[in-house]
Amino acid sequence: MTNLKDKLSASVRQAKAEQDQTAPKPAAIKSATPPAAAKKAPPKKAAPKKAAPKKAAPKKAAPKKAVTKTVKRKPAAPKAAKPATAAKPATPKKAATQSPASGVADSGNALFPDRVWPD
Amino acid sequence: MATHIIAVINQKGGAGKTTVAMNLAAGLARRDDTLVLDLDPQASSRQWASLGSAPFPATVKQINGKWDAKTLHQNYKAYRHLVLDCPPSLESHASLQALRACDVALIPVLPSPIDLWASLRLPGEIEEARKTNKRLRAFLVLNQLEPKSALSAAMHDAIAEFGIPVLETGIRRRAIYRSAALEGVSVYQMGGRGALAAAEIEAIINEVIAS
Repeated sequence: MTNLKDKLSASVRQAKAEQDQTAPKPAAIKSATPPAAAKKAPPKKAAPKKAAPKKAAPKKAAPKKAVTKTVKRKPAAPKAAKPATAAKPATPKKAATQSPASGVADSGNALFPDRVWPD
Repeated sequence: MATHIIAVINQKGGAGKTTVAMNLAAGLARRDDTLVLDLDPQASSRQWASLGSAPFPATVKQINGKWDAKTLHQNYKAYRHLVLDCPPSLESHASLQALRACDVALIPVLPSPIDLWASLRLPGEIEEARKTNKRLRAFLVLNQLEPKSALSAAMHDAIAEFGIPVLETGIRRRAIYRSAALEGVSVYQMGGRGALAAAEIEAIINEVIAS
């Protein structure tokens, strides 16, 4: 129990000491903030200017509308792609027809599967 | 008679600020007109009061925008007690103004080392606030104590490291506090089930008022 108390108290003291090491800096900053903030004020003005292009970037989001337009266009593209995709399976089919006939398309095996061909 | 202002404050979230503020206000409302000002954007106090089938004993309002100690005293002078439920941030306008305006800062702390470490900035902030608010008194109150827990028992010694007086009364971990919140009432309105909790709150009020 006393061990736990000591540990807890020690942890608080340690955290406090660590905070005190860092705390004077913010306090100093606080005391120095009025002039520092005043000095920093112009860059802050500059910052919004920098931010303005960032805002402009979202305006470029207007092109995103264009993107949505392109999204609208996309359905058109699949339409164009559909024949392409339809054509693509066609090529494997050709390959499939070629392979059973060992390279001869529309061979007798394909045309007359039931017929027994003489050797 | 001047309005007596109690700020329930801690930068750590989940320390029980709203629970303490609402039940404290309910206890104070048994004595005089009492207002809870919900300064937390999460608006938990307002939400709590809006849930009840029975009216909450104290009036609960939310403040938005900028305000200061003067406007607080002017606008709410009709109330004898003002309980400020502060947001979990010491940097916020609301917390800083609350410390400048209040007579008592009540700081709920959970019996956990993490909560202790997270609350270490408070003594400094209170010292800072005392430069403009000479009458400010601060008290730590241990919340959610578990009597059988060795850690809870060890807290009283560890918390002394803060250099802020600790209320003798601690608040025990009781389901009734959560049940009261769910029903939108205070522990005083929970009948026999809330009797022990209500006794704790009464003891805290007596300590704070007598101090």
